[in-house]
Amino acid sequence: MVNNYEDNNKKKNLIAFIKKIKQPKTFYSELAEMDLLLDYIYEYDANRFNQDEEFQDEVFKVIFENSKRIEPKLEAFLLERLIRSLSYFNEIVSEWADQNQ
Amino acid sequence: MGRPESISTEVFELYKKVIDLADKYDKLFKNIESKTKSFDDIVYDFESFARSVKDQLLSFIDKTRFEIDKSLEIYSKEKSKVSAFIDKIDTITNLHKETETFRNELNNLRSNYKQLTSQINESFQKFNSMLDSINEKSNSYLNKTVENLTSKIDQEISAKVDRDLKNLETQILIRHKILEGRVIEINNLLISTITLVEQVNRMRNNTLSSNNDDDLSNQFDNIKNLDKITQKHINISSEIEFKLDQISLTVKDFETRIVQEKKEIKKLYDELLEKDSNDFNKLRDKISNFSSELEKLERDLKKSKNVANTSIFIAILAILLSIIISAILK
Repeated sequence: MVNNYEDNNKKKNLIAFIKKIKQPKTFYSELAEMDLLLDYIYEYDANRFNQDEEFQDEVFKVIFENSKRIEPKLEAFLLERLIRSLSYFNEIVSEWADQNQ
Repeated sequence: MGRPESISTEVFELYKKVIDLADKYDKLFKNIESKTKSFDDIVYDFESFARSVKDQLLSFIDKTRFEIDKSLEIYSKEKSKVSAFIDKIDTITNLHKETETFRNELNNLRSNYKQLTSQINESFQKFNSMLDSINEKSNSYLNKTVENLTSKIDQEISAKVDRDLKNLETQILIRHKILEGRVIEINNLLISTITLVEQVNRMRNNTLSSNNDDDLSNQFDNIKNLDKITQKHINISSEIEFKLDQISLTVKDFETRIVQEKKEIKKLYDELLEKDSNDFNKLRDKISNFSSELEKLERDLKKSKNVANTSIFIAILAILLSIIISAILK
């Protein structure tokens, strides 16, 4: 079971690497390299960024991959997501713990 | 994977730690999953085992129920048998009680019986003495009556037989003498006719004439007729002798039967003397039967006498007819 899990992770990393190599640099990635992507999004597509979660994920992913300095909004976003997933995990585990107590 | 430039080391380390913990949790969950799977398998096995056990138990319960039903039926039958046996025992106890009461009654009866037997013995001795006296008296009376009866019967039978025989003998002698006289007359006639025939023959020889042939032929016819009459007379006399012989035979048979009856009477008399007084009535019946037989014999004797009389009458009639015929022919 554990071996299968490791194989899957390797495959995912490989696919990500191949995508990174093959894909050409986009407008968003160039903006992220310049630390101007979030400003651009707030300026031109703020409604979509606030309402569309997928779009938000995609934007922060581009920042995460291309930005050359620490972005606090990205860290807050990541920490928020981490808290959400941990709270979900905690919620489930607490239910399970309550059931097994 | 190296730290990206977009996030700080703290966040990266935090993420790393979280990822490690997640990996550990994942491993644990997978382990738990595998264990739960194995538990599920065990539970499934247990469930299948429980199901099989349940089925076996159900079949066992069905079997045991069937056996219990059977045993209940047997039990009910045995119960009915036992109840019947108990009823029988009750009846037996009742019978035992009845037998006890009956035994007590029998004991009472036995004591009564002993008393009665003693009384009966006494009365029986008295009765025996009475019977002896009665027996002696009855024997003496019987002897007297039998002697009187035998003497009377003998006297009457001998008197009757003598009388009848004498009458028969006298009648037969008279008829025989008459017949002898007739025969002598017929013989004399025959002798005279024979002498006449001899004279005629002489005359015939002397004269040789045939004028008087008709008279001679008539005389010859008369002689022939006389021969026929004598023949008939001889036949009748022989028949009478035969009848007399028959009568004498019947009289002899009768005498022999009377002698036998006398012997039987003597035997009966001896038996009477030998037998007890209880057979007195039987002997009386026998004597009555014997007297009825004697009456029958007397009747038979009378009938035989009548037959003899009729035969004698027929013989006399035949003689008379022969005499009449001979007279007519003359």
